[in-house]
Amino acid sequence: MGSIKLHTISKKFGQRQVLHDINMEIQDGEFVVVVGPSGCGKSTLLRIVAGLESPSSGDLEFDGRAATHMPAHARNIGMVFQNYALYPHMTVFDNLAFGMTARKSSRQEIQQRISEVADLLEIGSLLKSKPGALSGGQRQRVAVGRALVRNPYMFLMDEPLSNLDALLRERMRVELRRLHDRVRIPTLYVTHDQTEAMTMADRIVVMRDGRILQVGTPDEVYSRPNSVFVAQFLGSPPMNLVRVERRSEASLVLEGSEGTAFPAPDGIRRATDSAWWMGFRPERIIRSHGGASGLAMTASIRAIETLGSRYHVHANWGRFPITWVTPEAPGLMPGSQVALTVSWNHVHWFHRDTEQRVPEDAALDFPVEAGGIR
Amino acid sequence: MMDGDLSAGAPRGTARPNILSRLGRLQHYALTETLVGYGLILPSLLVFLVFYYGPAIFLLYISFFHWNIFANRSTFVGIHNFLVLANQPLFWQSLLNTGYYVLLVVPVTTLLALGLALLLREARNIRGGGLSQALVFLPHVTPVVATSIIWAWIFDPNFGLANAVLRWLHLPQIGWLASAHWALPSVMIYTVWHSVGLYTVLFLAGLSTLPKQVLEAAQMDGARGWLAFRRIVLPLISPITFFVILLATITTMQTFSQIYTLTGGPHGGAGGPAFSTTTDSLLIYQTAFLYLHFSLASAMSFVLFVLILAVTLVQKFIADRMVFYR
Amino acid sequence: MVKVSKYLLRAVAAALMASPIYWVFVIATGYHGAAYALPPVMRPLFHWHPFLYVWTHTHWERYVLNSVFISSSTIILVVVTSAFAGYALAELKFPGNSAYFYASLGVMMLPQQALLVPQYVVMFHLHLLNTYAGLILPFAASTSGIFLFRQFFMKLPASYREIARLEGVSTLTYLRRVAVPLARPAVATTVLLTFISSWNQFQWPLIMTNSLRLQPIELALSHYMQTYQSNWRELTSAALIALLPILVVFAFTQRHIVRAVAGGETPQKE
Repeated sequence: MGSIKLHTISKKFGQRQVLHDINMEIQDGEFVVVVGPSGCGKSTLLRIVAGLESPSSGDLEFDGRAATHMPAHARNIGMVFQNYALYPHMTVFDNLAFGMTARKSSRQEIQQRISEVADLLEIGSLLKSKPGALSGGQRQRVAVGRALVRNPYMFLMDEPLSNLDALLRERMRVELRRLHDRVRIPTLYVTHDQTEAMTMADRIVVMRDGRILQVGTPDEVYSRPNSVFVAQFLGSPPMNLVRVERRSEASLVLEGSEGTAFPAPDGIRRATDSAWWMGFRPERIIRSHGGASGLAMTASIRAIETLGSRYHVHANWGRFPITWVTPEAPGLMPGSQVALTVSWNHVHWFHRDTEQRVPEDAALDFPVEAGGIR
Repeated sequence: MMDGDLSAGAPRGTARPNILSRLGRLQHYALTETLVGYGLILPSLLVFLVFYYGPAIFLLYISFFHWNIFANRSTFVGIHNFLVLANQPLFWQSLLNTGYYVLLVVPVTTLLALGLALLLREARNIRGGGLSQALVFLPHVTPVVATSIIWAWIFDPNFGLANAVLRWLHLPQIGWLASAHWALPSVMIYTVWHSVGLYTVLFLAGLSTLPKQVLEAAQMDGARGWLAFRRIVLPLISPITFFVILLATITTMQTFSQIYTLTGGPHGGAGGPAFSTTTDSLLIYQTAFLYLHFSLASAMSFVLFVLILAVTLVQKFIADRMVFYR
Repeated sequence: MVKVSKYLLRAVAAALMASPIYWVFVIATGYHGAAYALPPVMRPLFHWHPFLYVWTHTHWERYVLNSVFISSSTIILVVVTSAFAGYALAELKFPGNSAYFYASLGVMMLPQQALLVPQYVVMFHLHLLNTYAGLILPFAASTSGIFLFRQFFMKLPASYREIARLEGVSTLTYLRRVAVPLARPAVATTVLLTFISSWNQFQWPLIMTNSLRLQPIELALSHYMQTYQSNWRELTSAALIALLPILVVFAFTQRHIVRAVAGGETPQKE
């Protein structure tokens, strides 16, 4: 067991650069989820770690040893593909044994290893079936089992849950994470689904356009996104973002609605910028009954979604659509106005031009923390 | 995800045009993958090179030499072989015979195949339909010598089935393979029988790609149906028609086995009577392997090669103007 | 009305096409002199003793075995070379990949009759005249086989091969255990098409051999035909020897063969 390090990994396909100087590290026993939209380069990154692609430049290190030019099979990696890649003409047992027989492991060793893994994953009863006869969840488990049989140095998972229906996906999330907690094999997991990232990861790596935007624990990335993109990408419903401009030293105004000025917090008063993105999470909004300090707004309700445990209230603040998540919505109906407040601690500030987070000391008056990029 | 690019094989070169960077591009191919690739194509590559491309190039060379294969001696004679060839009446006769043969067999086969394909089109869904399609195709897979035997009997002037049918229809008797007039047409009949199933199946494949409504429109009887067929179906299947005509032309230009067996039987040496069935392929065979005039046979082969190439190009040229590709 | 006449027309067309093969049985298994009857005999009697007589008084078993040996060796080689090249073309990136694809298609464009003379010279210099190898090796690779396997392998998910790569499975093992077993339809088609063309081989052995020991069934039949001119019952009985295996194979696989020919030889327009 050990760590995996990536130093300034870049990858070009022809003229198209899909990865730009990626630096990251996966520590022993860690579950790292790389999340990003389609085409952000996350799968390529995974395939470079697997040895299925070679980087155009940069270095790879496994457990302190150079691994950039190590052939794929020498890396001892267990990989789970989105389509599971189970061979349809072989039984589950033969699928699990295929790699080991090809490497001329002894029959007894194969038997023993497979029965261990089958016990762990509860697929013992499926060993004689062919993949075609299995349900989606069972196939998923067999695919994990095949990766596990070889007792790998690390796990690589490429969108392993996206072929499952919603309910099963939720269950497999828990199962996979529980498996990880038992075997503690370092895992690099790639997905476009922010829920998977949030629920499963020890650490999240957010990528876009071949670059890492932010690395951190789910809490860090969620509560201190370092850019507008990360802020909107993680969380469901996503963070509300509005454009604000300075009217005077002490007051701000929502872009395009001159009338609704509100006082600026201290940090912003001192800043040199004149325009920002201001963000706040839907669940951080509370209904104000007068007197609450913080960001105050009056919003007109467009629609209310009932989810049972909570309500998603879609409203307009000025010309910006915002979403408010609330456990109760008495007396609210579309067309009515509602007064809302967000505590200044829960308001995020981003530079308008660079879309980067305004560091806390400049924006607000609470303690500075070195969140964000490692 | 860039799934399209994820297979190990996404194009990896840079697009800079100069030669040095093109060489550099080789580094973008994984070395082992390249070696394995070459290893895997090697067996078939060797076969193609040694037995097909090699001889094709070699043909160019030997046509311009006078040589003796067993003594392994050769002298450059320029176009001498071709001049000798031009003075051989039999060579010209063989070209005429081949032309006659091709010009009759190709249109007849193509039309017949198209007709059969239209007839058999929806046969798969009908009881016995699959059987009729199989029976139409069957002759194409039969061995030529074996089936030539029964056709030789059918063409027997005295006891054969062909003349029995003519007699039954009160038509005059024909000498078939024994007659200089009818020998080549007899071979044509055999060839149409043996090959029409293949082209029928090709047409069927072409028809099966057409939208259903198109064929239903043409299904109506009478003038409107015929019009729909001519104006809609024919243009839509023109690519497959072109392919059928091209394949049929190239194949019939090289007919050998049935001529050799049908005309080499009780009626003297193959190609008879009176050289009426001596086509180019047969003449090449006889010149090279019966009379051992290899230089002359090479020159003939060269001419045949060029002719077939020319026919292909001409047909392609015509097709580019007429064939409607979707 | 139209339906019925179409049905009839179909039946007539099929009967006409099959009738020559039907008459092989009529003449071969009919009474002595059936071939000379006027009007012609219309019904086979299925008397097999003339057939058995023909079978025993010439070394047909030798020629049949020759054909079986040549066909089966060719089939095995073609499947192997086609699977190899098809896999390389479909899955591996190497300089010359697409060039080789077109080169293998180009073999089909070469006019066979024009190549016989130089091919004979090549065979002479390789000492392949009058050998089994000379009847097998030139047909050990097949454009349509390569094409079929390539098509099939391209349909396999890339992850199949990648899993094998990660597990350290060699290319040959992957081909043998995974890719080729999954490409069973391509294997079946290649086997069938190769069997038919190989069993029906005539001109090549006619030119490249002159030893009776080596001759395959069609060549032996042609010699027999020259010896037994107009002895129709003997000739058709002998023809049955070459014909029966093809008929049996065709009877069981005709759907597959027809589909293979329709799909496998149609040019790929875009």
